[in-house]
Amino acid sequence: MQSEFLYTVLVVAFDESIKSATRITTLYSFSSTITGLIVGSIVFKVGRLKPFIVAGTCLFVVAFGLLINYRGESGASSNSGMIGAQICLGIAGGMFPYPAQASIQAATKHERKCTKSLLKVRNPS
Amino acid sequence: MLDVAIVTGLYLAIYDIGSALGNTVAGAMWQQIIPDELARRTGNSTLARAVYKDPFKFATDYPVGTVERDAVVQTYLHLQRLLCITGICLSVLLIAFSLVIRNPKLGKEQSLEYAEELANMPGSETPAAGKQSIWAWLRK
Repeated sequence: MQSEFLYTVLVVAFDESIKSATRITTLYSFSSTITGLIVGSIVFKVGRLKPFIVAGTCLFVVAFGLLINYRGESGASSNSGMIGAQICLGIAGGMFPYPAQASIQAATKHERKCTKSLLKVRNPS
Repeated sequence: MLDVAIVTGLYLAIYDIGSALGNTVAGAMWQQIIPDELARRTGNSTLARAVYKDPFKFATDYPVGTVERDAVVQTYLHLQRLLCITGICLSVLLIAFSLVIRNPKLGKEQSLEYAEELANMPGSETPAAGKQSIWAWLRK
């Protein structure tokens, strides 16, 4: 999500190795995909989308709060704080965009004639 | 009348435009703040330009603990803080928007019964919004 900037900040300011910096930058897409799967199966049972969307947007704020709070001074707590913030951001990214998409699709009439399916392959960033 | 494929395409297009806008804001802040701040904190414009050009080479040349590295670390943390404050401000807008969307019960069908027909929305004929409790959006 903010990988280009994050990678530079992690290597230079947090003194991470290339391996761990790469892992931390990919945490967002990792946790958002897993959260998307879990939220999807819960929505299937519950049948409501708005609670997840609201919770997702609130988690965004929490994740940014963590990012503001834990931003370096090269200590162990700031390192795990950054990892926690990235996972939190990923959970938010799994709880908000996918249900929003489903909600838009549910509010649209389905045309039988048009059986176009849209597949979008997004590069994992 | 809209089609699911068109709406999905539109949503994803707007999603990508939004990410591009976010990247633009972050990139602009990076470009505007980092060079001046580096020069100010390190007090060495040649070094500041070298760091801005290739931060990874600098990170290997100056290990943590050296004066130069500490100045650069402080610059980056300062910018990280500014970027995250911008992000948190924009996320508050997101919460506001997420609170005003509808919350229909999803059934087995692909589309809602009253899709694209605002007049048939359940609840649209009862303007008793003032009496609803704070958690009404959860039950609606």
